[in-house]
Amino acid sequence: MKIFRLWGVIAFFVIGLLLALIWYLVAPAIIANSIESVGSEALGAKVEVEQVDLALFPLRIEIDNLQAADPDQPMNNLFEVKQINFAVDSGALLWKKVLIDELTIDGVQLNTPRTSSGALEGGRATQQLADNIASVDLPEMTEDDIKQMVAKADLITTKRLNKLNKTQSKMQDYWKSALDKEANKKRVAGLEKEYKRLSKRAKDNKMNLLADRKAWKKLKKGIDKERKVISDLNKKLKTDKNKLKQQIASVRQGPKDDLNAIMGNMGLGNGVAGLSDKFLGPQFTPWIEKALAMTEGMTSSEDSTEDAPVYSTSQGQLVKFRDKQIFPDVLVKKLNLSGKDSQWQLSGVGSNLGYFPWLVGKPGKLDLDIAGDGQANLSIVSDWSSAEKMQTKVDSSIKQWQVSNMKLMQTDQGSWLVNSGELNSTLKGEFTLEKVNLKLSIKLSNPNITAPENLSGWQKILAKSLNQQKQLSVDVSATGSLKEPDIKVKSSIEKLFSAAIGAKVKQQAEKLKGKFTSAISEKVGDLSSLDGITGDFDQWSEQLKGNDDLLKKLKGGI
Amino acid sequence: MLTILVKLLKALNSEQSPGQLAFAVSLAIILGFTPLLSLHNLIILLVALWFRVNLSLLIVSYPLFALSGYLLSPFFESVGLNILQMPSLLPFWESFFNTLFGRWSNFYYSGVMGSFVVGLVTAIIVFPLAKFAIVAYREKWLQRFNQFKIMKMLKASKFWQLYSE
Repeated sequence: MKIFRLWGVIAFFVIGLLLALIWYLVAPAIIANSIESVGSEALGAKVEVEQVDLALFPLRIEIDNLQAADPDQPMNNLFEVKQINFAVDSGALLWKKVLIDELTIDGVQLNTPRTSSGALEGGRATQQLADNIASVDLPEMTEDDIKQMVAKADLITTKRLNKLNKTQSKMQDYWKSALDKEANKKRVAGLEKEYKRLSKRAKDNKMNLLADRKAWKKLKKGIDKERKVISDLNKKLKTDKNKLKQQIASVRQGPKDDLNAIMGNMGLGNGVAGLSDKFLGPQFTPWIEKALAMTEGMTSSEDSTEDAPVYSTSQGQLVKFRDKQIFPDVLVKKLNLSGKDSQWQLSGVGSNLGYFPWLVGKPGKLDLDIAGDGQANLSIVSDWSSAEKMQTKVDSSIKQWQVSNMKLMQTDQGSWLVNSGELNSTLKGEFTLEKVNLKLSIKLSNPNITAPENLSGWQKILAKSLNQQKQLSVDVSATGSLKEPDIKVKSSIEKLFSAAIGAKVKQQAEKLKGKFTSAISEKVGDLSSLDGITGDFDQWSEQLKGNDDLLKKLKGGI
Repeated sequence: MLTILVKLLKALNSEQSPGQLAFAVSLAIILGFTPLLSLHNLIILLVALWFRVNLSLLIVSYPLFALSGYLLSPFFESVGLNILQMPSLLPFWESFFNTLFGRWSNFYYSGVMGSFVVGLVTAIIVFPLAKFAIVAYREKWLQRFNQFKIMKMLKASKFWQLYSE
């Protein structure tokens, strides 16, 4: 009987060809769909693409009429792009890398009207739980309300505790296997046995020293190798212990951070001062938060201490081996950006924009200029000398820009809009993987502000006094680390808040602080046992020391 | 369900050699355990089509192993991670990752590596066992099976007729 069937091979290749053909026909729709779904999810409003053209030889992609709706004003687009055009290097694609020599983004327009609403039905798929606990009204809360709020909140302490448990469990697995008592004992005992055997032979007859010289050499080499392993393990033990200690300290700090986060979220963080954060924060800080989170995301969630780093993915753990194709997974060598409206003209250039950026070898740069009645520019230089070392500098300014329909803040009653005024703003600073230092300063001269209708009480007083101001200023500062940036908003409006509701808020804050502290403690449980976690390290250290002492003694005898 | 049962019985009762049937089960194990859209599965498909493997049995048994694969995925991931992080194998995996096949194989994902290795080992173990079971079934059980009422009813059904053509 024949074991091969020819029609099978033919069928295989026919199926292959058909699949390739289907892919070629369907790929533009898949690309458009991916841009729309990922973009919409990231922006929180509809991102739409009219058409994607794909040419194979050379591989070139053209995206026509991309529009991204404004999440706050769904009948307007945040921006619209007439055409995005780029060619992908096929050679690099073979190595699963996207290398783009020149990316051209043409016909950028801002704030264009839409024919249909750009609001996402049902909102984002992944909505932050923390958003739900924000309320703009001054809270009158019972103990049950507080407990419920804490129960719902995605507590920082719980997250840190989970991370600590994960790290501890990984470390325990690693060290249990690395310090397997039986295996270590066996290896060291083997070396000791060999030492005793050779010593005995040497004692019996000195000439055996010559005859056994190769065996002595091998034994010495074996001892050195074992001691090198112990020395490496000792170094790693210290690093791991420090890492765990840092995480324990971070967990201990957790309840305080949770209290600040929850109180801040309610506008009670720093008494009256927290109110700027509460009311103006949602308008002025999300883009800073997003930019920092994006940079933090680039460092990826490496969660292994092994030689080859490991990243969590949907297909399991991705073990990243040293890549000999030394360029990033995605690299845009040159970016050209242009667009204009009746009132302004945009031009921009970028270079060496890559992911992972440390593989680019050169600093990534982006310069944008907008010229109109006023002048605006943005300059970002991001230099990643390695995966662990990054420095990004931001320098941007807006001068004498006439604004209209700019949202100042949102309360339950509706949007507070700036109808007219002159905007001067700067965003300067730098951030590294360890430290963030960014300052955004916004000055709005001669503002004409429309407040929502049907205001009452302190909000009515605030609306009246806002329109009497010659200049409003808002200062946003971002400090801390990339993982946990501390973003604060201060504003000249603070005085107005204070006049409207100051004393009431202060009293409320003091009253609620104690209740929240006890509700958080109740939820996170007892943290006093955390110190015991590092106890294993002393035991492991002792074990390593014991083996090393014995080997040292053996080596001394050779 | 009935269709699957008929297909399975037809394959077992057919003239095909036990080796061809056992080979189908082994290939279905690898296909089912590992993510379907993987480069190695193209090779498995080529082997299945090129060699005289019983395709009906492969298609029928695939969903069963795919379900088992889904349930066993945490185990696959832990096996895969251990293999990929084995210090003695690191240089090998590094070289492999830097080949075109390695880059597209997705073997550097613990899930893919673990499921492939476990699938391959299981397939190798199952092959002789399945062959032995099929021979034993045909020699000892086939006649007795055909006497069962349910078998007679099944053989009279339109499904059986359909698959007899």
